Amino acid sequence: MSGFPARFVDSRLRLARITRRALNHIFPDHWSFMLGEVALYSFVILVETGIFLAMFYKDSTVQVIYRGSYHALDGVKMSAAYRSMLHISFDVPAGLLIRQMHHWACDIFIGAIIAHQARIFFTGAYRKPRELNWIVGVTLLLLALANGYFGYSVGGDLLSGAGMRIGYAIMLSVPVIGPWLTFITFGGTVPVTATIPRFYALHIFVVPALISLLIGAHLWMIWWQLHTNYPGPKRTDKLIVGSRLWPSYTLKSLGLFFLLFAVVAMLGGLVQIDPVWVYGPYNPVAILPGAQPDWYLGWVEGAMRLFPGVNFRIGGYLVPELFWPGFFFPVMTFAVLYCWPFIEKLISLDFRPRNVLRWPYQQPFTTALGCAVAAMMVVLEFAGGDDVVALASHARLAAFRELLRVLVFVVPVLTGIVAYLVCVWWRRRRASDDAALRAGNEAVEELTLPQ
Amino acid sequence: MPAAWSQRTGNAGDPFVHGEEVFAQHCAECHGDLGQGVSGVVSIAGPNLQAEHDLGHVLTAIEVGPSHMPSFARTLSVQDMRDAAGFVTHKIAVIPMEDGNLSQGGELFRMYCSACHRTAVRGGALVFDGVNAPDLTTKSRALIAGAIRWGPGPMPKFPPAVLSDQQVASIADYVKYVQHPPSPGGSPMNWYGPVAEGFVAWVVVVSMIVVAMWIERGGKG
Repeated sequence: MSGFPARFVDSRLRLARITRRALNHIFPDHWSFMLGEVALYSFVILVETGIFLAMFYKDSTVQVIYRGSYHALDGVKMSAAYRSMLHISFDVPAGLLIRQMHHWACDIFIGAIIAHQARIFFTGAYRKPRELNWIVGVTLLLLALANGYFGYSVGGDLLSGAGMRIGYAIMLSVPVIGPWLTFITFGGTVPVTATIPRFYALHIFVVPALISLLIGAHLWMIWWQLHTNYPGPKRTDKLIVGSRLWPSYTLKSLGLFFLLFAVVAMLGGLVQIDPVWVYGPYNPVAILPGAQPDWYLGWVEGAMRLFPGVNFRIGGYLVPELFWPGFFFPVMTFAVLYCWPFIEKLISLDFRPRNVLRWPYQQPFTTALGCAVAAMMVVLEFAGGDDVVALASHARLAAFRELLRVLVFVVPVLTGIVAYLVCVWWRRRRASDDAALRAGNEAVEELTLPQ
Repeated sequence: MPAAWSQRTGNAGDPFVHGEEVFAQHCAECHGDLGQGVSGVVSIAGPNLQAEHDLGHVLTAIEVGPSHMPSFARTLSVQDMRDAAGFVTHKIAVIPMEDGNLSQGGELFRMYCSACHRTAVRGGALVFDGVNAPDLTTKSRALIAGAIRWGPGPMPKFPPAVLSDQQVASIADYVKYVQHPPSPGGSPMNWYGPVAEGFVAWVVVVSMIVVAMWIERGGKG
């Protein structure tokens, strides 16, 4: 039955050989290789739900009077964008489900990217010849963060408007070029009508296209260079061990996709995310406590909350306090991320291609550094949500914030030291195990040889 | 005794005159001579009563003594309590609490109140004074309206020149609505916002890692 169309296509395009080779492509069997797939499939869900939302969302700040099903906002003046958000949430069939799935998929997407990146980092998968793919990966993370921010900003609700205003303030804080930067990005002094249409165009066309393109490049490089392998029997820098793309890997991967889709759909129906109707329409003079960005920008928010009020002038130009935690810190973070494969070469002096991964304990310094940075990010995330944490735990916010100002330095240093010591201890234990094993093997050989 | 009440109430046999006496003797210390509320020393702080129109509610409060308020069931006769309650609901309660408009209340709440109490009226942590803006989910309309005029603790007062009686009633309507709002789309997680959402997202990411481990083990154990 399927033979005729297959022969018809193959006799014209000669795809059989290449398909056979592709289906036999080897993928290593290890759970940690699936983290990137969680991110990839989250992106698939984002695109699918995003197409649905784009049919109903209006990227306009024209002021309208709301007359819809949510009567607590009946007769309230708001932007057309916000009205369309309410329309999607209350009047479009399955609109709220899809909207919540979109937002949950975004939160999970970036979480999965970071988990995947942590795996790459701690196992040294970014070493030669895969530095370029690390750079593509960091770019993907950056684009995902940017698109998350654009999506958060186009809602037209109080929370998203406040977030847009903070992004504007951060960009404005860049000495000398701040005003120009904000003008080309936001289209004027926020709140301004130009911003939402711009961000929407970036959110649904430019950034997703770039992400798709780079995902293609990311996967092509993995295909071309083959996967890395964890250390194990028969695994060398020249040989890969695993299962074939078809059928075992494809089925495993599809199973993961369906499970993820089920979880996201379940969250979309059972757990509220970004209830825009509770926040109300954006009004530049209104605000609320507990106003946070989505978690993936919580570390920047935390840095801004903890940073002391230091303003000074360089050559007559003001460097506002917001510049350091809001702009300089994230830019430096990404600069180090981009350069890390090359920075590490200077430390390890290892310039050979490495296709076998290393265990985290085999490079104590890198592991300790990664753990320290991760710990700092966790503290900063708590700082970004400090008022919510204080409210929920009945703590005094001012005292909690002072404590966090200490912890943001102490916790990373302690975590780094502990991680280093654990690595060294582990390496020593493995070394003695290996020595015992080798001695045992030699004894066995001596016993068996004479026969 | 404030002269204002005597002028209004007239003759001596009037229950309001007796109610006023009881009020002045037993209630004014904590609730203020005009029922405007007293703040400052926390132990004698009493809320503003100028929106308490419900006679039964006031009578119960006098008898039972909610929260920090003492019970007057043994100190006062039934007639004393009734007169005092009547005096509160008819003379002290000067905010009519009528013609409130829900969506106008929301607009006003976002303008004047949400900066501390959040739009979800569940309170917020504030950096000054070490005081958190309280959760309003258990407050009655009368307490909400009273607090707006009274300004308990570090909360500012909002006199009639800032918010009219009708606007106060609207805000109370909004708070009452958001206390138990319809919550489409599942659990609101106490309206903690992106912090709670981020936490859930990471729970899911970690669960997906566990799922990946399970898949790699061939779906066993």
